[in-house]
Amino acid sequence: MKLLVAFALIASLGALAQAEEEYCHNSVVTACSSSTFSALTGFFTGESNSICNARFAGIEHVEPEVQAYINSQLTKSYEYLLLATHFNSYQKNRPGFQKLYQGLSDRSFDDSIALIKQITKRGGIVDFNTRHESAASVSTQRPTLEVDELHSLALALDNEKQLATGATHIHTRAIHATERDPEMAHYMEEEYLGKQADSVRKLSGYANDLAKLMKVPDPSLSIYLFDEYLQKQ
Amino acid sequence: MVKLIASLLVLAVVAQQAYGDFKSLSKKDSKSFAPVRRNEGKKLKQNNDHGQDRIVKNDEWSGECKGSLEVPEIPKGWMDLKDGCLNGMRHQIQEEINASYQYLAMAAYFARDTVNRQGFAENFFKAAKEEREHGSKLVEYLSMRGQLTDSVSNLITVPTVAKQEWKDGAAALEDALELETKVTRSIRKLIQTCEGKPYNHYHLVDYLTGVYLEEQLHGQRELAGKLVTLKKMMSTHGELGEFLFDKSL
Repeated sequence: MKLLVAFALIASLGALAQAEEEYCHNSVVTACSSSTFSALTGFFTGESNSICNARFAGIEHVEPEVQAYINSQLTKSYEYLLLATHFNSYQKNRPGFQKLYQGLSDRSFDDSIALIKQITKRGGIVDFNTRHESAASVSTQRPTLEVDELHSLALALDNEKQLATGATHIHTRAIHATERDPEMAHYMEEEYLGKQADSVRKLSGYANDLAKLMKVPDPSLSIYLFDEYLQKQ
Repeated sequence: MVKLIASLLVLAVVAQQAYGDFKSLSKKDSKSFAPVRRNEGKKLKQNNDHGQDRIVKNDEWSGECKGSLEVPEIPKGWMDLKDGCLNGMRHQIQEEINASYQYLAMAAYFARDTVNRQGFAENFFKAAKEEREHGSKLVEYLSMRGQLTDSVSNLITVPTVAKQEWKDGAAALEDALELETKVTRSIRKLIQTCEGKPYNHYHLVDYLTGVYLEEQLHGQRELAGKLVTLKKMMSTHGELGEFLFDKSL
């Protein structure tokens, strides 16, 4: 009798271990063995707590970071849009600067959509309302954008570095959390880190160039020429 | 020999000037550009050291820096967009951005693996982009009319969304239709304001009617058509109807 109990115990433990491996399959087996169809549809209601989902590896650890990063990209997208607007006014009239910032704004918006697709690919969800504080999030307090040309380049350089830091943070979480997520790390490397290094480098170059060009008593011509240069980029 | 003396003289002059610049740094002599240069170097270096630091923090920069060119006086008569119509435009811009956000939330919901309605998701992503585009075109219009020379920073606030989950595709399409109707009503109100006495903004009203209302009305008709087709398919075939409809989007 004892032997029988022990055997049953071992068998049930084994079944439990298998159940952990095959959550979705088990739920389907259970649902289909019941005589009603409602049990089956109950498992696939489309709710995010469905047992059958695309979540694996370290998604639990990176999901909140990516959510924060999506909100950061959107915030920055509108900040750049307003910066472009500022240089599009008749008083500023700097089409080159406008083009530069409009481009960054569009890029951030497109990146937000790409990130939404990535997080949902991995079984994650997006939350636009709650702002999770992390190294991947940026301040929602908008700095004053009515600045001159050199200041704006400095602002943009800082922005780009913040975004690069956010992406780096997601990457760090993906490879150092208790459950690792090489897929997410790879995605960040492939789609963001290289591109961001380029844009940081470009803006740093612009800021240093313009600062040098402005070492004259009246920098108005320097700024005009620099704007013309930016238009051709 | 003469050359040597000349170069010595030049050196002496340069040295003196440098000394003078140094003194003027403490006196904050606005005619000298050396202090500006020094600050620039310092700030840029700081910026390289701490990426998060804002360069604009330093007040003496904005005060003394020659980067801020003076705005020359020009005639102002051509800038005739003001008061109610201007405020209405600013409000409309925010409305468009809010709509863009709401569409983004819809897209993100239907892109979920457990919802898996990629056709809906792509449609809503497209709509989110369009609404953002509408907003930024209105912003450009204001710039064209001589506006937005100041108070640009608070033109758009990053919104929150009212809803992030939907019962099914039909519920989302219904919300989308309501959202478009709301935007249309808001544009109509804006047109009324801008058309009113004492000053008729003919051009803006024409633009809003010809471009914006045109797009709104066509968009509404399209959404209504989709919603009806989907509802018909779902009334007898439920999930299968939605599945097939999604693939056809």
